Amino acid sequence: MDKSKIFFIFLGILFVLSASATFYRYLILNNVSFFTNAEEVQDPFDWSVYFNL
Amino acid sequence: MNGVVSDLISSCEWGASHFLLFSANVFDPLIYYSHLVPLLGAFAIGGLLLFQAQKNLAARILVWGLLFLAIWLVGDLVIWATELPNVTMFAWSMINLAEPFVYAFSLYFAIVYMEKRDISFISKLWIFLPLLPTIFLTPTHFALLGYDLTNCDRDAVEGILVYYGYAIEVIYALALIIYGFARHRRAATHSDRMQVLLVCSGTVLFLLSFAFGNIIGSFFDDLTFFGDYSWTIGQYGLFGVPIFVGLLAYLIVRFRAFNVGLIASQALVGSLVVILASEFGFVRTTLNQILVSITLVLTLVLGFMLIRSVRKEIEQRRRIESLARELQIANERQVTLIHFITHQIKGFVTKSRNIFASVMEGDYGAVPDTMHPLLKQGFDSDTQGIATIQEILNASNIKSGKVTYEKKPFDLKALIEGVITTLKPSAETKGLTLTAELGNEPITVTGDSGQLVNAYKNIIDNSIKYTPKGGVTLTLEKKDGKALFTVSDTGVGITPEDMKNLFTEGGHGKESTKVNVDSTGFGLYIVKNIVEAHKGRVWVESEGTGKGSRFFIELPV
Repeated sequence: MDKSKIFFIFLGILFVLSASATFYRYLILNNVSFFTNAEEVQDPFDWSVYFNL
Repeated sequence: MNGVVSDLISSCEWGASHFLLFSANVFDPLIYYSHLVPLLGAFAIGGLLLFQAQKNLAARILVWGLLFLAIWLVGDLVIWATELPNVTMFAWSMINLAEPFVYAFSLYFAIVYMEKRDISFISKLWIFLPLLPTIFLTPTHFALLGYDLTNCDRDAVEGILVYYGYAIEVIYALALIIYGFARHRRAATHSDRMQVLLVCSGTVLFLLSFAFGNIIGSFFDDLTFFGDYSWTIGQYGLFGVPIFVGLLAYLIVRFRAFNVGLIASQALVGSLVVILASEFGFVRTTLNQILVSITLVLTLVLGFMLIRSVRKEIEQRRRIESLARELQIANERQVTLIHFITHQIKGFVTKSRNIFASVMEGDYGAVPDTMHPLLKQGFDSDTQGIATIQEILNASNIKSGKVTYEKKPFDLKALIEGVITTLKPSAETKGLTLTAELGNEPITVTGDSGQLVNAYKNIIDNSIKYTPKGGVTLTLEKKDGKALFTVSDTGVGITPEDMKNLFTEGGHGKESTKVNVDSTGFGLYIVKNIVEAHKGRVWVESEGTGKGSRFFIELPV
């Protein structure tokens, strides 16, 4: 099997794993953060949102 | 889910969706048309490609791209329809995961289509490795920060990963455009250039139609530019998706018999049918439905006729081109054969003439006086035969492009004087006067004197041969930076019909062989080719049969 094929299979597996993990998070664990007022809505460009700076 | 969240969700009064796809939450039924038409189109085109061009790499890549497009379309439709926040979050994540894949496969497809072969492994890594952050981080809060309940819009709040996705999509689109330009520049043929142009513009337009909803929706949502219709207008872009995907699929299927005219007419008819068919989603009154139906049927019938006539015309043109190629090959073979035969015959005749010459000169002992006229007749006949064969050989060489010209400055007047000296005896033998007015000054022209001497000799000799009585007058003058040589004779003249093919290969007057039995019809053809190779001009004037002719050769000085 040539390396291109291996690479695409690897990429496909990663895609499926990613989709499965997302499915597990939102639809099995129901892990959703809700913003109930405008102050709570986070700025996506604020790095502290992701790294607890 | 805490109480505040539950209260807020119930206060929004969202309707329950069926199969996650169908609900009253969709603000406009247009959403179904804009998503289901491309979705069905993607399946139909993907199926067609797998059926028609399974072995074609570009087709397989396009099918993979269509698979991710289908994931995107279903995910987007779910987002519009569902009232469940966790389903919205999952579907939103899926479309953000699938979207860069559509771009990456589009770029990969276009390059493979243009290059007609697979790209290197390193190039694949360059295209697909930027997708890894999206793949790894989609389940995390880098993709989606949360669900917005501050209004009832059922929106997810997008994280930095989504903007990363947009950035690489822009890079993919730019890479495609730049690569397309570069490939277009080095395309060798017109057909190749058209293929590059069509596949690049088709792919870019497909990506634009695909992104149109997001662009219009995202950028004009907060503005009052389109009012509440930002997302509605954005949906129209998706109608372009099946059209451009259809075009790309068609380019693959018709790869071997690529024809822009046929593709354009089929794409035109296909787009018209799709647009007209989609109107059934909007028209409400029976009258309008009847009108749309009639228009659709007429478009189908006329479109079918248009495509059929274009295809017929293309087939005819291909047939003519194929016949022309065959004719050219046959012609080239004939030229080679004539060249071979004449060359061989010239050798035999030359040998025979040499024998006549040796016998006449007494190399083999004294020859009786009674034999002299016979030997002279044989010698003259062979000389004429060699001249005739040489003329045919010259014409054959000119036609096959074997003649090369070594151009140097020389005195044209001296060259013509030499030709006159050679031809004067044959004119005198016929009892013709050969007078020349060449002026006193030398006229310098640049050209191959070895070839031009044949041209001038041929044209003067031609007049001598076709003048039974009277004379031939030659003039040379410098006029407007050109050397104009005129041969006027009192010969048989030329009819307007004969004049048309006088300078063509093997072309001579209908009655000319009665006057000159040795006419090959190549003499003036050779003159024309030699003169034109020197950027000159040759032509003839005659008032008709029995009224003489005037031949002109004009060369730049």
